[in-house]
Amino acid sequence: MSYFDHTSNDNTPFAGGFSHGGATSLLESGDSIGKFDVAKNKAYSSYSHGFSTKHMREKGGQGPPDKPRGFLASPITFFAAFSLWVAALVAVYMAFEKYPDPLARILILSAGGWASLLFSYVSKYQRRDFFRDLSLSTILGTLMGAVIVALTSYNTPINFAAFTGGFAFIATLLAVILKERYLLTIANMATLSWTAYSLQYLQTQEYYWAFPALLVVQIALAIELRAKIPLALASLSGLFWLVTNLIILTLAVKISLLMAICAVFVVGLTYSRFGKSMQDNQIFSGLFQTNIGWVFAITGALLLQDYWLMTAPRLPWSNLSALSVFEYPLSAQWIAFVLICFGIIGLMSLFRLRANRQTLLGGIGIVGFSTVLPLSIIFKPQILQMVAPLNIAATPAIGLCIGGAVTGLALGMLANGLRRGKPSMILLALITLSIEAIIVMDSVYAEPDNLMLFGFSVLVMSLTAGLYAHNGQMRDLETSHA
Amino acid sequence: MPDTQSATIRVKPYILVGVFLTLLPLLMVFYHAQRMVIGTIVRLPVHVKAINAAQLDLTKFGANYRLTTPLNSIDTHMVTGQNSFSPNTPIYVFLSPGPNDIWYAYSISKLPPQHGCQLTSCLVLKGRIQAVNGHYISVRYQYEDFAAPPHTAKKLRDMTANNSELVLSIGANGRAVLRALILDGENIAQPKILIPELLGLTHNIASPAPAR
Repeated sequence: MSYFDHTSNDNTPFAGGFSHGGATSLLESGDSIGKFDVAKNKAYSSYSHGFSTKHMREKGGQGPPDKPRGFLASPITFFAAFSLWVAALVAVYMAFEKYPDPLARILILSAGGWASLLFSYVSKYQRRDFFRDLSLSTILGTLMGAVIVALTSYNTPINFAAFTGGFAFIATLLAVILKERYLLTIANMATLSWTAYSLQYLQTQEYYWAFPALLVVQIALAIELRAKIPLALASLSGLFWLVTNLIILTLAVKISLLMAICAVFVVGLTYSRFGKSMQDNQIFSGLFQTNIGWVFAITGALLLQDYWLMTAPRLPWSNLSALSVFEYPLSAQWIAFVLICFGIIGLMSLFRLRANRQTLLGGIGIVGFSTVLPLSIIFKPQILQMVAPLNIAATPAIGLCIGGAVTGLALGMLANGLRRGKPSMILLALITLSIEAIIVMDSVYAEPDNLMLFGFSVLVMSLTAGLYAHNGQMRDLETSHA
Repeated sequence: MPDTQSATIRVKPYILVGVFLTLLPLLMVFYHAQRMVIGTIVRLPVHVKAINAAQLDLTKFGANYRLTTPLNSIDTHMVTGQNSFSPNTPIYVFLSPGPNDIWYAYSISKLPPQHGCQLTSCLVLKGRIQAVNGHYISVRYQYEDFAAPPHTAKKLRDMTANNSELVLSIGANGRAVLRALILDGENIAQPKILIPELLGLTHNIASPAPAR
C-alpha cells in the first residue's frame, strides 16, 4: 500500500519521485510535487529564456522553444542594435563633456535608455544572456543618471538613503514590468543598502513604512520567476530591516528589549505559518520560507528563555528598564502588532483546517503556543504573584519550560527532516538543540533538580507534537480512503 | 513565413519602460520648476562656503557649496513653541518679516500647521533637526547643499564682499526650493523651464505673519 509511505500533511515528496514526461529532474530542488508544480516548472524554464507559456502551449509543452528565426534573429540586427547602443553611450559621454544644459543631458540620457531597451530586446530574442544583462544595466544607469542630473542641476540634492530607496523602488518596478531576474537582484541589493544605511546611522528612514510593501513585491516576483538568489536576498533584507528598526526603536526607548524580542518571535512564527501554507499549496520556496520563520521564532524564544532563566542579575537583562510593557511610547502599537500576528496565525490555521491539513486541536495549540511568550512578558508581575504561593521559583522554572518546548519542537523537526530527507531541517534542528544545551547547562548544573522539570517539559512537548502529527496522518488516511 | 518568435517576447513592456525612463526625469524637472514658480518668495542673507574634499558629504550628489542662513541655527529661548527636541525629527519653523526685509523664526513646532493657517497668513518652513546643542538647534531645510554649475562656481570664487542673499520659494507644505542667489548684487537665477508660467502658474510675495 503505497500511501502508507507518504504523509501528505507535511508535503513530503514521494520517495520514488514522479515521472511526468521527464519532469523529475526539474523537481529536485523544489519543495513539492504534483501536476501544478510540473506546470510551474515548465513555466519557469520558459521564463528563464524569456519565452512565454503561450509559446510553450503552442509547442505542446514539449522541449525548449525553437531556435529564433526571422529578421530579429539575424546577426545583422544584433550588430545594428549593438552599434546603436554603443553610439548612444558615446553620445551620453559627449553630453556630459560638451553640453552643460541639464535638459539636453536628460534627453540624451533618455535616448541612451531607449537604445539600451532595443539592444536588450534583441539580445533577449537571440538568447544572448550576457548582452541582455549588460543592456539592462545601462537602462538602469541611464535612468538613474537622468534622475541625478535632474536633482543636482535643479539643486535638490537628496541623501544617500532616499537615493538607494528610490533606486530600489525603480529597479523593482522595472523588474516587475520586464520580468527580469537580473533587475530583481539589483533591486534586492539596493534594498539591502538602503536598510544598511539606517543601521549605520541608527536612524529610521522617512519612508521606512514603504519597505514591507517593496519586500512583498520582490518576494512575490522572486517566487514567480523561481529565482533563488533574489529570494534569499529579499528574505535577508526583510530580516535586516526588522532587526534594524527594532534596534533603533529599542535604543530610542520607544519599546523595551523584551518587546523587541517578542516581536521577532511572533513575526518568525507568522512567517513560518506562511511558509507552511506555501508548502501546502505547492508554491516554490515554501520550505525555505518556513525555515526562515523558524530561525526568527526560535531566536526570539531562546532569548526569552535566557531571560527567564536568570536567577541572579546578569547582562544584558540586568540593564532592563523597570517600566512595564504598557508604559512605553509605542506600547499600543506593539500590542496591536502582536495581536495582528496572532490573528494571521489563527487565520492560517483556519485555512489549513478547512483544507483538512490540520485538526482543530492542532490549530488551537499553535495559536496558544504563539501567545505564551508575549503573554509571559506582558503579565510578568501577575505570573510571579500567581506562582509565589506554590513555593516554586518562577525563574528559572518558566525558562526551563520554554527550553523544554523549544527542545521538543527541535526534536520534532529533526525527526521530520530525517524522514523527509531535508538537510536544511536537520541542520536547523541540530543548531537549535546545540544552543539550547548551552543555554540550559548552567541552570541544570547549578540545580540538578531542574533537569527533571526540563525533561518533563521536553516530554510533554514531544508527546503533544507526536500526537498532533499522528492525528494529522490519521486524518489524511481517512481523507484518502473517502 | 510569419515570425512567430516576435509574439513570444512582448514589446509592450519595453515601450512602457521607455516611456517611464523618459517621463520620470522630465516630470521631476517640471515639478521642481512648478515649485519655483508657485511658492511664496522669501529673501534671506546667506553665507556661501565651498565644501572641500575633506568635508565633502558623499551622501549629497554633486553638492559642492554649502549655503548657511540664520534660520539654520535657532535659539529655542528666543522663539515660542516647544523646547524639547531630538536630532533627525521634522520641525516646522514659522517665519515673520523683520527689519530690512529679512525673515526671522518666531515660533517652532513639531507638528504641521493647521490647514486654515496655511491658507491665510502663515509662512512655514519645514526642516529637519540636525543637532541639538543646549537651547540651540541646528536645522536643515534641503536647500543648503548647493550644486553650483561651472559659471556660478567661478562667480562664487571671485566674490569679494560677503553681502549675499538667497531667494527661496516656499510651498504651502513648507518645503523650500532655491530660486536664486544674489551675489554682490548680481542675481544668479536657478535654471528653470517656462512650462509652469505658460500654464498660468504664478508666485506669491510673502504676506506678513500674524502678531505673536
